[in-house]
Amino acid sequence: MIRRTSREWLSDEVPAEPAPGLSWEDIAVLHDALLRLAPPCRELLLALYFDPEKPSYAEIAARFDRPVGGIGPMRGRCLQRMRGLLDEGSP
Amino acid sequence: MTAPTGSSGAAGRPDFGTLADWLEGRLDAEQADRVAAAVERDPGLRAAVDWLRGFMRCAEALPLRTPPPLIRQQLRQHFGRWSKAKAILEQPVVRLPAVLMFDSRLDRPLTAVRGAADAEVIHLAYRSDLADLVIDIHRLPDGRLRLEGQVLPIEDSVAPVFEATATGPGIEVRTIDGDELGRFALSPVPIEADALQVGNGELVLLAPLDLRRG
Repeated sequence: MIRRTSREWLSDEVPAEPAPGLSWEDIAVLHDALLRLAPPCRELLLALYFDPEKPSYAEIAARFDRPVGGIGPMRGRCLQRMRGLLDEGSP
Repeated sequence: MTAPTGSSGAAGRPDFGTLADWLEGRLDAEQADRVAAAVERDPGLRAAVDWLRGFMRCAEALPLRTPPPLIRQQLRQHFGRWSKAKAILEQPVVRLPAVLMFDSRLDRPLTAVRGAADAEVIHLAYRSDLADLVIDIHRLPDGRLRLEGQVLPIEDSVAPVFEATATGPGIEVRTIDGDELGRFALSPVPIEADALQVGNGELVLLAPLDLRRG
């Protein structure tokens, strides 16, 4: 049977609208492409572009145990893979 | 469109990383000028820059959360159907009547529902050939109702997220969202609503409602 807690779960946790300027479809496509990236690339792009704390390259390098100078080139490769995945999903 | 390649934007054609550095202001003035000039004359680089700008804008605005389950399921169904054979596209949605099997009001007096501040909940249970449906009805302070339901498919293969619509004369109340346990909620529903339709894009259950009876 239905649990009493379903009231909170339905109305409070589920956002009615996505962020301004984006459709849920945009978000789902981006989300799925991120999931399809290999974990190192996914984690790097999440840290660089999606983390609201905007960590510096030095912080990210420490987190990934990589030299700071390697972050930029790795980011370039990961962005290119991301672009390839999103292009694959385009009609 | 040719993708930017090469290891460095310092001398040759700027690569993707260099373009990102340029957009993020990480290059010195001389390097930035070189990249700007290259982008100006190369349509492939302009396309790459446009993509990077779009990606960064999306990333800025993107909440790091998964879309609601119902939206995800609908999108997956759309993509799935789109990529499969036409025969699947043409498969009709199965519409089934749901038959009322249990109504808690039959055993309870009217005043028990309307009287107390913490009003009792009415329980309904329906059955169909492919799924059972249970509904809890809560009375709101303004006399309208909140319906909380759950679809219990008989087979695991049924898509689990359902949305619901309560209808009646001049009435149409839809769910905001459902979850992956088949639960949904409708509110506020006028007592004049006389039908409930619950569907997941493949299966629709049609259940009669009698909300006037206490």
